[in-house]
Amino acid sequence: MNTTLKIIEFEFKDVFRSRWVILYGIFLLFSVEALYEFSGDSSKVIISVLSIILLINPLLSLVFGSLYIYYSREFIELLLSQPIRRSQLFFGLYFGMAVPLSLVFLVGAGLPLLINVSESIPVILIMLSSGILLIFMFTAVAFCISTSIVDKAKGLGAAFLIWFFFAFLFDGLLLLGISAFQDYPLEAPLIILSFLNPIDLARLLVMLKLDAAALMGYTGAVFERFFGDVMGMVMSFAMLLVWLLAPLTLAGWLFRKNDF
Amino acid sequence: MIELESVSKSYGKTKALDDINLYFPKGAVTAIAGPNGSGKTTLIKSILGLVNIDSGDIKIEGKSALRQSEYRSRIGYMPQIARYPENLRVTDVISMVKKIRNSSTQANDEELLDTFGLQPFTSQFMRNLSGGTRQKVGLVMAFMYQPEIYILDEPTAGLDPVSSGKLKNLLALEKESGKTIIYITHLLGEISGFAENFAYIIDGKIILKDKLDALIDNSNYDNLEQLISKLLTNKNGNGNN
Repeated sequence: MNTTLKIIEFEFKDVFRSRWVILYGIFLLFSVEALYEFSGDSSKVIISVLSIILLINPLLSLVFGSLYIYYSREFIELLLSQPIRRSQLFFGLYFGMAVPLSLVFLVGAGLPLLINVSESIPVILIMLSSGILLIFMFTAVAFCISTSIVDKAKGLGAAFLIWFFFAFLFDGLLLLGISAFQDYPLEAPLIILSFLNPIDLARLLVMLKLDAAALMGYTGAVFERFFGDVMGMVMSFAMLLVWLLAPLTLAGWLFRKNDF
Repeated sequence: MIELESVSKSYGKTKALDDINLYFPKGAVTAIAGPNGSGKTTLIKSILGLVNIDSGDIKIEGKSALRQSEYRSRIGYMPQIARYPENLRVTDVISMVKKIRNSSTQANDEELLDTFGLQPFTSQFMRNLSGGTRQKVGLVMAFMYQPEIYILDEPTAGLDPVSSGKLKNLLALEKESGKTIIYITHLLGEISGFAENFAYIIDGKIILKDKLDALIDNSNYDNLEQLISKLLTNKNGNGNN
């Protein structure tokens, strides 16, 4: 077994035993089940679950990921004093965290959806994929934060700020910009701006499949008009992959370059 | 065995290591002492490759260790702070290091667990262990492969006197078998009669290095504490002038 896999094996043990991760799984399971019990309308359930996923997955990945690295700093030092390369340890820690979080998400949100809302399986699969992409993406961002900011409190503050920016502030600023420049042609700038928020991209990806134009918001409507359904989905998925690879590459570089 | 050649390291404007030249011979204990924040830990982290030095070279038996990782299979490191993933058991942590190390040498972790009275704790989660017990787990991992080089950062911090004594006995045996031992401490009393070589570091600079016996014999003082105390008084006095 290679060194990265050996690290992943023990990371799995640690992360799966974390009470926060277990609580997250239980929370998702009960939320989705309750939404289905109270609503019964599969579209409404999917949209409600999507809202939860778009808020919770980035927050959990950022906060849990950052705290995990901060609290493991001394153990990371001990592992780095062994005959392993930093890249092996980095990928071991990264996948050892992102994969269990994704699996808990799949069981917590995916299982009740697939059992209860069987008629919308393609949409559910796209939603689950988006949720997993968000976990991997924001875990990479958490690694960037915790390897570049030594102070735990500042790092945690940065994690919350990043989450708040993408989850709430970005759309608010965008609306402010739209209202300020409403007399100008905004389609092209809006397309570019919509690429800058991975949470919006994940929302778009599901909404385009769901064909719920009314729920896409202004940028979503522009996006659909510009690209169409299929091309829009391909574009948003491609951009989500860029959003995954960019922080992951940066985190890996910081992990190799920084002092411990 | 280990040689530091003009090693410098800065954190922003702060010089953590300033042109350090040191040699750690085989079969001897070299104690490095200094006040808190003087650069002791940065120095050993440089040897381990945890800190990337700005200039200079670190050689293990004549070969540069910079940007290498394999040489670390010859090192047993015990960090100052023993903190481990809280949801792993003692056996998980030890087994993780054993698997990563993948050594052909038989690990004597069971024997060490016995020696330090850790057998009753092996199936416990790390979060439930006291600081001293976690420190002993670190000790087991540093010693279990009986490596050629030991780098121990304040190893007795948090250890009870009995375990400290056992650690000293273990180190004496390893020293006799020709191992290189780097021992970081700020307690000067604990290295007398135990370390052969001594270096004192302040503000990233080595201000004193020699054979420990020679240092005391050539001075007018009875022990190392008095010598260092005088040295610091002079340094501060000059600094204030």
